[in-house]
Amino acid sequence: MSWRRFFQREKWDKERARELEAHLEIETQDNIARGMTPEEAGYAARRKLGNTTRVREEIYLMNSAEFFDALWRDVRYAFRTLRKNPGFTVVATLTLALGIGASTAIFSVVEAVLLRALPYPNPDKIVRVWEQAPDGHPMNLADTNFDDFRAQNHTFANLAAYEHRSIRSSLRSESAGTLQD
Amino acid sequence: MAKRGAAPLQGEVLQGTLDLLILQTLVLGPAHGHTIAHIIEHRSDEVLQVEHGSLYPALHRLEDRGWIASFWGTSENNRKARYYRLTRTGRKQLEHQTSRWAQLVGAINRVLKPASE
Repeated sequence: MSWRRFFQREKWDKERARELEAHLEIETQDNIARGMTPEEAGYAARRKLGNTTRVREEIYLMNSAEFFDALWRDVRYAFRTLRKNPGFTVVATLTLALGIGASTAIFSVVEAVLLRALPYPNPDKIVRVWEQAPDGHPMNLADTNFDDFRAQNHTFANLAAYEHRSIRSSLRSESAGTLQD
Repeated sequence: MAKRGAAPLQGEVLQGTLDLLILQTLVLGPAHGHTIAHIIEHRSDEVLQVEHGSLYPALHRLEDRGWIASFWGTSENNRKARYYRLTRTGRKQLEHQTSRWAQLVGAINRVLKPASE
């Protein structure tokens, strides 16, 4: 039964209330049999049993998942408060919407550009190599050097080179464009 | 109320101990809460005064664990009462808890006893 009790609080409370009532009756009868007046007998039984509301509360709490009760109360309180302040609700909702939208947009870009693997087989085996000057600066690679590298390569499955190129163009001139690199 | 010896240990019945006493009481057969309370009091020579109310949360807890089961029945003097009986798990628990209790008492007694030469 263990977790099922959380859904039977009312039922168990009624059961236990009935049970405590029965207890009182039996004790009262016993007291009368011992020679008390019915009134005395009732009082004595009640004294002996103690505070029945407290007992029922203790059992009720045993059947409560206090965390979820509190959570549910908080959620309802939040909705009541929001309904009372429509202006605040609108501003808060818009702020959240914009914030979530912007974050999603930025993440989409980051994901595509930085995080997602390159669309080649074994993307984790692709490396970038460059020539470096004695002072540590990366150097541009001469075509002939690249041909040599490729011819003498024992390390990589294949080599490829790429170049940066900036193109400046204007609408008026026919032959626009300067090459760099 | 206690007529002889020490004052009743009211309120000092630890939770686990109360569970143990209830289980032991039910070995004799099914009983309702009122009977259980009185049996505990009488068998302890009135030293253990169970506040009757405190019995019911304990019964509820034991039933929830499946150590006892309950049903509505008719009492000796023809009144409706909720009866409790020991389940098989409850019986095993009783054995287990009783030996633990004996260990505990033995250990405390050994500490309390003046060292013998």
